[in-house]
Amino acid sequence: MDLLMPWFLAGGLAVGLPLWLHLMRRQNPVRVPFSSLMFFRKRSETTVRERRLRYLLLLALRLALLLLLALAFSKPVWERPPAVIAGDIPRLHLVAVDTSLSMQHGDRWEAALDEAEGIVSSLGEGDRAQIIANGPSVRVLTEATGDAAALRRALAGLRPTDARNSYGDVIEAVRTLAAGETAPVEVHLISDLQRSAMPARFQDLVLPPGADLTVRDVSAGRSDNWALDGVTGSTRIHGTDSPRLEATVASFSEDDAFRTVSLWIDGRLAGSQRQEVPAAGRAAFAFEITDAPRGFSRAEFRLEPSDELAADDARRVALDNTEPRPLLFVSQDSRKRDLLYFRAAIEASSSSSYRIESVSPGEAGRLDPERFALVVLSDVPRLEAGFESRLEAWVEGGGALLVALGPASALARRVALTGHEVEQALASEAGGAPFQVAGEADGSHPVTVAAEGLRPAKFYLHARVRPLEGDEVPLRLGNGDPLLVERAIGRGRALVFASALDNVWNDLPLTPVFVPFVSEAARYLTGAESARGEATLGDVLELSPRRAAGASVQVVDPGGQSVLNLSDSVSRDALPLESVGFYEIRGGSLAELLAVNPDSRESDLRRIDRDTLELWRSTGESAAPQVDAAGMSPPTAPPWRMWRLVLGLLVLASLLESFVGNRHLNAVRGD
Amino acid sequence: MAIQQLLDPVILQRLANIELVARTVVDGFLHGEHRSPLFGFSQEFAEYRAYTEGDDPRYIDWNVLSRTDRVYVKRFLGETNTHLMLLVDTSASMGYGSGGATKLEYARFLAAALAYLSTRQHDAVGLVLFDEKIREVRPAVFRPRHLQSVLHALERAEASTGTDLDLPLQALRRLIRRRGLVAMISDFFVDPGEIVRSLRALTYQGQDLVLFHVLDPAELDPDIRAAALIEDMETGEEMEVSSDYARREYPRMIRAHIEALRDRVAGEGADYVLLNTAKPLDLALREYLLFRQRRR
Repeated sequence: MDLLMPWFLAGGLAVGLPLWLHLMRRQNPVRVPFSSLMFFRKRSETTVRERRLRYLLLLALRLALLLLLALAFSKPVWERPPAVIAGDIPRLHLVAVDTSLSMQHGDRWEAALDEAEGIVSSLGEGDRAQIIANGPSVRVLTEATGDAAALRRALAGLRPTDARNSYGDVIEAVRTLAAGETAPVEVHLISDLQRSAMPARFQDLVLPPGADLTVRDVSAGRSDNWALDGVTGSTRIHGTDSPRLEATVASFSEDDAFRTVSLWIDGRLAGSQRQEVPAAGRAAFAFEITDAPRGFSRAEFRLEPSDELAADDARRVALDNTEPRPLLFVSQDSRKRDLLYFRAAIEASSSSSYRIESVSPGEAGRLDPERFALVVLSDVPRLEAGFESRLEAWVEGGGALLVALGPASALARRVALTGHEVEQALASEAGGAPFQVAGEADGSHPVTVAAEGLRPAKFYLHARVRPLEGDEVPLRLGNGDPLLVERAIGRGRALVFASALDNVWNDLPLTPVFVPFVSEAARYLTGAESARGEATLGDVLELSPRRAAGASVQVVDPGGQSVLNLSDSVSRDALPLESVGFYEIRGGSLAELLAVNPDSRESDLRRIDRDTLELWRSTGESAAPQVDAAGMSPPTAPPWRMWRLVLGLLVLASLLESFVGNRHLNAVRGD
Repeated sequence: MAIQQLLDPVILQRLANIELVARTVVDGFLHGEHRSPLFGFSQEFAEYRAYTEGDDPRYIDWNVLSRTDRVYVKRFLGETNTHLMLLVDTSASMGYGSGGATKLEYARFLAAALAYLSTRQHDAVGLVLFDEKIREVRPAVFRPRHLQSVLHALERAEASTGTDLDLPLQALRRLIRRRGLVAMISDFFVDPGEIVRSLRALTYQGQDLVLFHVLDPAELDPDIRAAALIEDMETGEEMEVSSDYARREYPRMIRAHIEALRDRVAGEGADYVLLNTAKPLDLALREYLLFRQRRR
């Protein structure tokens, strides 16, 4: 029996009142000293006792009345008993096996398989099970089946991966699988319970109603680990005097330890260092890159000797020693101030690898955009017709275009190629401050993020751009006018900057955010990866910026296999990176190398604390039926609301109390 | 103040001195009764009687002695020259009182009045206070200051323990060697047969016996309106009693007891007087004088 509002039971304390009165009456009868009991008979005592019995009956009825009243208010419900023995109830066992990178530590994987095998072996009559692997992403490996052989085959095909685990994703999959399931669901989580796999919101861990969570921890023993946590420094080494990379080793151990890090470039040992890594600390190992070959190179840092988790003992980066890619800068500014600042920004950025070709709009007519990685139009209201059509076709095929406005564009009241209508606007026209600053920014857009929303810059003039349908406005001025407009043109994209690249309309080129703004805009438009030429396992590789108009792009995974078929190579826009190692991207005449590393959070083997785990379990208990000693739950049935019965008893007790009380009163009057 | 009020036990309770109580009662009683033809007192000579030990030497007739060398004492009409032995029950049950005087107080007043009255009639007065034992004994003598001794003993009397009529009456039989009057004052919460058996030793000795049965009004008609826990004042025993029984059964039982006691006592040749502590003492005194006259 359960109570929906148990606090009303406190009303039952009211029974103390009649009880007290009755006991007082019993303990303090009217005492009459008398000279002799000689003429009193025992018959009189019996009479009193009989009356006392009537009092007791009355008292019992009154107590029952009060208790039933309190019980009725507390709304009792009765969990209906299971119709059959709990152990015979068919159940659905969702076996979630952690296949993330951390499961490669020690003998965790073997223990996990043993646990899974134990579950399969103990399936009862009518039980079904379903194998789920969590990492990378959640994969449901079998149907819900009672076929132990099929389940074992699925388990036999499982291997630990280099992916990151996420319990939030696991529980979301469990909720999906348990939806509509009539049988009791038991979730078996076989994992090393990494704290780093917990979702940001605990709400994502809430189990579905009727599900019970059984955690099978396989992280026995010490969990010391050292990992190569990251590599800093520019991997773009072409033209750099003394390229230098710094590998960071993170310790997840309680002991200090000496570790050796070696650098291998294209399979050749380029250097090695040994130093002490403090307990639960980090140590940096710096390497000078001296004789990197031309083009892209595979650089791999290795931690030696390997510990029990070898998968995070290597870190890969792609060294870019290629010729800079051409960038076409079209400007009609005779003083070339915009080019001055733009070039300075491009060259200052370690991630940029562009060679700028600057031309006037008239000169641009003889150029083929296909040669360039990026085209920048700086205050160019009109293009030569032939060049404009070629440029448009190039952008539609996946080309990248950056348009900056200025006085000429505002005068022409239009933007070349994108077709936006503009008008010049003075910051002070509203009668406020003599300049505007950046306002609302899209926090997820890489350009606004890298350039910190251009907040330090002052904009004295800007061109009021009217966004077209389908445009995005990642950044606005304080007065709400768009400052950065992104427009998709075919498979390519264009960014329209509503101010100028010189220091006349604004002071942006003089602020520190100008360099990241320019470099990130170029990187974003061209689809180039990070400066270090590396990505994390599970990231998505964008293909369209790497594909020339009408051309195909191919990706070769770390195993040397082509990932895209013929159709995908032409049409697919993105590709998830599912393997650790070096991906080779071939598009047009370019070949690019991208290093993919595991998520460094997998190196942190600290467990979920006990309290959090109990809280997680309790989310299932609150919704699930009670589990018996055998760990089996009966099927849920709607609880029977007992308050109707209690109310009936209450009425009955009231009637009886009235009847008995009335008789008692009559007896008193008769005295 | 009316004479009857002077005999009211409630009024008598206010008097501090028991001698004063006795004098007030007797004087008031005699003042109201002096015209009665039945109860005239005089000093008229009645007869001579040989002197015996204990007789007051003041009543020796010296003339007869000188003439005959025999010692005679004079007896007067209206005087008994008898012995009155007062037996007063001081058991715990005598301490009961429902409002006015307790039964013991009433018994004290009555005994004091009888002692005073008897002294005025030149009777020797003795006193025995008893409960289950004999607590106090004053032999029946006629001496100056003896009355004060008796009254003093009465004044100190307190209700104590249980009642045993047989023991004091047996002892009394040894104390009283002469015939006389015996007045027993008690509530007689004892079986009438047992009382009679105990009294029989005295009646066989030739004593004239009167029983003053003192009862509180509440003992005759208990005022118990609800179920109550009745506690026996002598034994401490408790009994739950319904008002129904107290109102209907108990009065019938106590009256049956009274009737049985009256009949059995009469059968033994003794007198029986039922006294209600709410009533004045004149009834008791009148009954005593009638009794004395009959026995003289």
